Amino acid sequence: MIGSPTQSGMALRVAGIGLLLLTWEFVGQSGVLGKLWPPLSVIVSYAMEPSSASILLRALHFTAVSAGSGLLIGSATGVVLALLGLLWPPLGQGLGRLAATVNAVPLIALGPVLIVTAGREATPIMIASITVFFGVFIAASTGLASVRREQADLLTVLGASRRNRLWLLQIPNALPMLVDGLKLSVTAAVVGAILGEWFGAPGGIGLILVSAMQNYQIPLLWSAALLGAMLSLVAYGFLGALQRWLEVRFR
Amino acid sequence: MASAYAGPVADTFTMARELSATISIRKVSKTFTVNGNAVIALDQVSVGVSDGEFLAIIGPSGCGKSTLVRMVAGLEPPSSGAVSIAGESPLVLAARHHIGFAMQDPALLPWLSVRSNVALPFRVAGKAVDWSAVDALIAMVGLTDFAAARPRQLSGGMRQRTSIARALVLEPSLLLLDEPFGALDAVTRRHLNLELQSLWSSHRLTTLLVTHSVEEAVFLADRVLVLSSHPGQVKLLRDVPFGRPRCAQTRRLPEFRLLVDELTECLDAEAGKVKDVIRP
Repeated sequence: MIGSPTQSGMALRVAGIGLLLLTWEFVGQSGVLGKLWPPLSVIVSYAMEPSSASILLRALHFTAVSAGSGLLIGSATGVVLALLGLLWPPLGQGLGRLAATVNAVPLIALGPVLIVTAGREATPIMIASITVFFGVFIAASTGLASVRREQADLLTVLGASRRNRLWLLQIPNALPMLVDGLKLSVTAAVVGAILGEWFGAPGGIGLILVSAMQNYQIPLLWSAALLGAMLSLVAYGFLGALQRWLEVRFR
Repeated sequence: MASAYAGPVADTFTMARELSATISIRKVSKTFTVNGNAVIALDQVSVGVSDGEFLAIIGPSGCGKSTLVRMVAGLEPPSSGAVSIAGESPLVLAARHHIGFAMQDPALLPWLSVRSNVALPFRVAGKAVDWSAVDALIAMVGLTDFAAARPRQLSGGMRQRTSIARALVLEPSLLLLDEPFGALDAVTRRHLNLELQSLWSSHRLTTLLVTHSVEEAVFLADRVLVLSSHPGQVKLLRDVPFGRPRCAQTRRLPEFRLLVDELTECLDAEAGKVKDVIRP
């Protein structure tokens, strides 16, 4: 999933994943870790049952929409603020400190506050946005600032306006790094959305996790956890592919 | 290889130069601070370049040649003294998109093809790209077959040739060349010297060329400026008496060889001075 897929590397990866799943199945079947660790086959067949599948799909949809909205809002905020910071450097420095401060606040502490202020529906999106914002802001600021001196000099001598410099040099130069930041943020967005749901959202994987835990529904708990992980991995893989393409195209 | 080069690109140049580019460098000094010590890179350098003149600057490494060109480009302010182009700050000419600039580092944009890199100055100036001028210059530097390639697919010399084409594409009033031929092989270098010479003979754009090659300086320039080092001062300013257009035969003239020898000796004396400083 990461890096360049050579033939042998791919085979090794498939073998590694297969080994992990087999071990899981074996541990579950043998029961050495108790009832809380069911075999993979039991989880999968439970998740495939129509009644549980519809619950899980609805939850997946809810979480995916929250995480996706959070990703959009958080990254848009990050990019816009990074651009503003570039256009007005004193603002940029202040924004950098503000972003670091926001990132230092534990989200677990923000959750209840957001439930009260933003509401149960919006909390997952808000938490996902905040987690995404920091990574994207840092990646965009660094990318915009990392223009080589020779290229900057060239544009100066050619008489580039600030807008030209931004469009012709700084933005294309920042794209690979920005997508790198997005790639790392997308998993955080899923975790953030699930965390937000945990505090009492009306749906989503987080809600299922809480209720399945409290009601001792072990296969449901595992199915929801696996589904969350799969959502993260698929999004990460997609952005990883986009990043590899940009790497080749823009560097 | 030779067939890859089109004929003189001069034919495709319309070059209606509306701006004068008389350069005046008056008592310019530049001091850098290195580890808390002030180092004088340039000391009281004065030289005038008239409109349409080609001045070559040679000198030992570290004599401030590049600094001088960067000041004319408006990239660095002098510590004291003044640099002006047609009576105004270099930034004025730059803002009008009338400076062509090629340096040792080609500074190509890696996400653009050779063709788009050469066309970049049009985009910077907000003008419609004249693709026939772009393609003619790409042919002049022998990269027609590589027009669609991206910089990382090219050799160092090819990248430099791309940057030379880019410097010429807007038909600038002032051409600043800071060792742009450094990474080229001897054959390509001579060929580009010839092309630049014929282009230059028909258009007479004010040009500053920093080079390590005395022969290149004498072949291309109207005057050669020799800078001394530590601090950089005007050591010699020599007229080059050969008419234009110059061709391969010019290099074989006895007067040509004599002038090259004279300037080389002058340079060697400077290099010897540096050695004495290093090994007292």
